Amino acid sequence: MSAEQQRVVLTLVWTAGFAGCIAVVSGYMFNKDALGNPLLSWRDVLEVLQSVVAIYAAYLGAILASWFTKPFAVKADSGRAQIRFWVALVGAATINLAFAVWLGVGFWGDGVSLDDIKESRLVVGWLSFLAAPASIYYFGVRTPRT
Amino acid sequence: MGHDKRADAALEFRIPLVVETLSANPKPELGVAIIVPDLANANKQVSNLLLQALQSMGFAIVSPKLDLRVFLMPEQQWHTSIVELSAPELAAYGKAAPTIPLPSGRIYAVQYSGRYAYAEGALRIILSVNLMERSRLGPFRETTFPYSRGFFKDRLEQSVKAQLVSVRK
Repeated sequence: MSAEQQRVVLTLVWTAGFAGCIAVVSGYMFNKDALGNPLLSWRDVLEVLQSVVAIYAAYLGAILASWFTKPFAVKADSGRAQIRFWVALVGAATINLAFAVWLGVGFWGDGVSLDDIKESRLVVGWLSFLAAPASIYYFGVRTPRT
Repeated sequence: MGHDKRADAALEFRIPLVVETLSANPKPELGVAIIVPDLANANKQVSNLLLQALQSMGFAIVSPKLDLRVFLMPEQQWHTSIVELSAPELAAYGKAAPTIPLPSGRIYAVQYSGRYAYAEGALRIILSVNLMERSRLGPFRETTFPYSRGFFKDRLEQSVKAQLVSVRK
């Protein structure tokens, strides 16, 4: 896989993570309890989406921007390109999956409130060490701490 | 009953207040009026009456903090806790105010605020009703649609009057 293809794959992972998180949060509006009350109202969902978009604006926004900027000089391949790509891929997948799973805590947890769902943004900060080095290497950007 | 949110901006109800004297004639009707031995002790009696009425509906007065020595004074603003409306209460609302129903698919709660005063031989209770809604996992937020505040005023009025009856039995 070429360096360009690897960047495409990582971009797709982040894009899919963003779409997945929006789907999870929106799902709260359509899931109802036994009495017909939605798990979250539209106003609640907007609050959660605000933090989801803020997080992805930092990560995915920088990644997308890199596609429209002049590529930086790539170092000669040291023979570890495959390993590096897999590390980046697993890191990106892990952080996106962890965020989506925590966002969905209202579906599988007991006694969960809106604040617990909004706290899911913490996991992105905790796991940023998994994604930040790869983002710097592949996209030449430094992702801010959340 | 059946008023919209703007129409009944000043919610209030009155209960006759009678000072009990040996020579009172005619005798005050039991369970209809608040009968106090003298006006100096009326505040404590009224405060307890209001507190008992609210407690019987599941509310607590959260502001100001009351204890055995501290009671509500005339014109003192008080606020209750937020209490969810049960299914029978929602059904009662639907019957009482069919023209302005509460949208379904929400959990509702009510908070009362108010003060009392004495006016023209009566206890005057001035109320403010705050209807709130929430989803299953979300916090309570103020509703933005019209509803019958008169229904909730009537509910408290009935509860206060029920306390009069129970006190005098």
